[in-house]
Amino acid sequence: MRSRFATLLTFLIGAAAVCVAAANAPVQTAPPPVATLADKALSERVVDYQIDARFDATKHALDGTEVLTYRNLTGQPQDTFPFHLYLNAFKPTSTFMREERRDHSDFEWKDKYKASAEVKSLDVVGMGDLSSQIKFIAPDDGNSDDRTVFQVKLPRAIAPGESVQFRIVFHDQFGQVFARTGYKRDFIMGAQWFPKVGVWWQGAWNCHQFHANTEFFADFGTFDVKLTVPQNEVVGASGVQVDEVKNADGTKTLTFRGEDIHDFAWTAQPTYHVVEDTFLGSMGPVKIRLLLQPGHMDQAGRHLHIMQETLKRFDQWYGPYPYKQITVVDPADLRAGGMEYPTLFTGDTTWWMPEGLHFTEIVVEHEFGHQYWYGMVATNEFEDAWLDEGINSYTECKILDDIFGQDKSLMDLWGLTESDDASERNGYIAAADLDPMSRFAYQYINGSSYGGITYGKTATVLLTLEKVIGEETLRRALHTYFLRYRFTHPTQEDFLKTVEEVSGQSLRWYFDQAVYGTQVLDYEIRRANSDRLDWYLKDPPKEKKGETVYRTQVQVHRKGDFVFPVDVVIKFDNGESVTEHWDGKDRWVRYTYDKKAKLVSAELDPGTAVRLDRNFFNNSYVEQGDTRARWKIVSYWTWITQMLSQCLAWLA
Amino acid sequence: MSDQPGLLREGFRRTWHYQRVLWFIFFINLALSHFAAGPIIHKLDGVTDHSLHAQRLSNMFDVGTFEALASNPEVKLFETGGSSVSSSIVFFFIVLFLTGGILEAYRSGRKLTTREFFEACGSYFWRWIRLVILMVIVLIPVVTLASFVKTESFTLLDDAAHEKTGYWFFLIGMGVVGLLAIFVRLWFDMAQVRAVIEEESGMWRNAGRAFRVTTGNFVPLFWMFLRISVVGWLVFAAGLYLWAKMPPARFGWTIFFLEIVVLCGFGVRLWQRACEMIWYQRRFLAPVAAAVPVPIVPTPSPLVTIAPPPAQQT
Repeated sequence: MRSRFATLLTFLIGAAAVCVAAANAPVQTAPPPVATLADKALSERVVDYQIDARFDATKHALDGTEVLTYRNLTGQPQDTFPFHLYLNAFKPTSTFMREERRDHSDFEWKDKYKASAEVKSLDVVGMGDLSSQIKFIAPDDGNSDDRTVFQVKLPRAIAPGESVQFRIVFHDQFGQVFARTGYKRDFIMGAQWFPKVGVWWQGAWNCHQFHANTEFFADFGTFDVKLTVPQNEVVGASGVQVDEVKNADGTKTLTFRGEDIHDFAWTAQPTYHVVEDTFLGSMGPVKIRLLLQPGHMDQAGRHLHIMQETLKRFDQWYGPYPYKQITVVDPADLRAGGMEYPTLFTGDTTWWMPEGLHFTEIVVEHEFGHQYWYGMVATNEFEDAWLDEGINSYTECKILDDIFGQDKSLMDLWGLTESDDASERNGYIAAADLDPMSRFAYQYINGSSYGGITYGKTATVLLTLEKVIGEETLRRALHTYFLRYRFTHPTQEDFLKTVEEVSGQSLRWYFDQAVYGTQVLDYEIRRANSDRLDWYLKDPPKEKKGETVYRTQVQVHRKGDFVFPVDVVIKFDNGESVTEHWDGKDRWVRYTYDKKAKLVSAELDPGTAVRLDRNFFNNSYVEQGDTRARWKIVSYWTWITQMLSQCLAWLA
Repeated sequence: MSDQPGLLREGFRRTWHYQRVLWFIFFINLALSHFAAGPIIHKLDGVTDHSLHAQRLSNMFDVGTFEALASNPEVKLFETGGSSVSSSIVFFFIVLFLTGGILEAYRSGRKLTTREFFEACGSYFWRWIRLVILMVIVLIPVVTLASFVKTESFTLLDDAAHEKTGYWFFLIGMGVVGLLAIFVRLWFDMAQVRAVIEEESGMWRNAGRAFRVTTGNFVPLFWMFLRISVVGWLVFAAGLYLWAKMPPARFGWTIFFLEIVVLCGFGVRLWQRACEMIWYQRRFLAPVAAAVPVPIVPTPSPLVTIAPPPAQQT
């Protein structure tokens, strides 16, 4: 008994001591991390947004109050802060719409697209109301009608290491979805909806206007968002939901927290069907929350399957997904589809999509991939769009090839096949020499070139790079790049140097042409033939296989200006095969062989590993012609013409 | 709904009986279409025939490879589309020309000589031209309606409360447009039949009368037209199914099946023509004498009596 009493007394004293110690400990102001699987902050958390917003579903409008705490980690005093007001792009005189009309002459403005974001007041803690200091600027094109960027000058500078707190009251009016954000029927996609501060990057503020071809760039931080919506709405948002309160006025207030992310998006629709699943990643379980349109429930399996397969490969190949949740939104309007936001993205499908067409899977894979190449490795989408869209297109090709098979990753339907990388390559071919990958996204000649180069060429450049450094090495390089630069804003040189470092090779010769240049890569077998050595004899002996000596000549021609080493394989009719390696530096090279065998074929780049080559058809020459492909196309063409004729003859 | 039993069977029999017309049209169509594909033959000659990469089109059908080929500067496949349109227009006029002979053959119930056939073609051609102009005028509101349906269905895709409303509006709207188009086709088919049977030369008047015939008998005529059309659609669907199921490397068989689809398409149209002719003959004419063999009774040569010259009276 005594012994037990002593034990009890010791326990009670100990517990009291712990309680006293806890009571005396400094008060933790920030809530513990809940949105990530990590036990500490993953980023520098430059910004802290606390937003309280009320959405009026009838008017498609939102009133919000944003408290932004900005930590000055720029290393110098700051007295001027730029902010994005992206929703103001949806006006006919904005730079966004001007560029839209420039690229699509048939584009017609409709009033239903009109949207706006208005700052009602802007206070800075300790400095008072600075609403009068708001000034709209147009740093990219000087368009005085563009209202997508404003700046505010503070009465005193914020010292390095000091924080400043902005209190912004704002009003949003959403338009019908034209690009990414807005409403459609009872669906709303709330993206780029709050005043967002620019990024101090490379010694200057980086806060571009909203352009037709550009996306976004922002600092990492935390988001605590209270969203009040009608009670019948099903809501999805970045981060994780931490609270829900039903209000007496028929609304509900949902609280979300996002950590180590740089944007916050949300969506609501009363008829969303929610499907949930869990992926067990290397950092722990990740909840997959799928918000589907009511008519798309039969596609839930397709979405979940591609999500599981994609998460698995990203986890294994590039690095862990550190967030607790990923929300997949199936929007009611395709124009809101196929867009990435931190820990949330929109897919892009239709109710009739056949299983043999993998567009649904491609979009889901691609947008999830952005959680890595944009979400965590947060490159500047205005200036280095290829770093997110392009690298993501490359990993998309690799993952879809791995899941569906290389020739069928895009389409496997009715005997027709297409691979995702062929589709990317065709996009590049269409705009091969117009713009370098390194060009700012809004400075491309047009949207087609932006798409073809940023997505297609980058994917093709990296697929071709596999030929130089090996597929596995490039995978390791991407893994290193991800681990090294996640939760930062790397530049294109950071990426290129990482690849060089991991591969142990100097690759400037390649990057200068492929990334910074517009040279076109096109090699051809210009001529290949075998001729008897005794051709000059007036009465030559009859040709005998294995005895007659032939001179075989193969001319390889570099048609484009892109210099790239290539292999040439020459096959002879005695079964012999010769492989030549050409550095490609001269315009052409001739290979000559004297053998008791005739040429069968000459082939450049067997296996078409040099994906950048614009024309694969001229990469080989087969002595014995094969007309099957030609006649197949001609026959189909004839048949289609027959059907066209038959339709017209119906009028006779 | 059919007011004439055995109409389809009789129409099919007559189409089968004059099947050389069907083959004639089919081979003209094939030849013209192949001619339209001529530029492609030459363009592809130097690109695919000696290329290993082309095996991705012959051993399989890789759409990405096809896209790359089609956009290849040396090929630019779709720039040759103009020749297909041209050949289709030429074919339209050839069919319009042949229609007179075809209807005349179906009317007479016997095999026409080549001379008779082409004489009929020539004698009706300008009347058909006038009817086509009339038909195009009549089709303008139908095309306008189709355009409206298309525009409105896109608007509904944007604005309607349900995702599929626009789709259903398009489907139903185009169904109505299809019905109207079939009515117009039936109307002018009937005008052509009347022109042949009634030897009508005034096409405005003929079109008016054909309109009354068609509207007055729309249900049986439409029922006849629809049932034959369904046969055509089924053959088309079966052809596409076989095309999808055939291994890509065996494209010879694929093309064979697709050509059968084209042949059946023409056959179905001629079947409709024959049925319309028979329907009109049964409805508005007395039974055709030629249909019942009339025994020929040899008749004696008429006796010619030469009257003696009257006696001269003095």
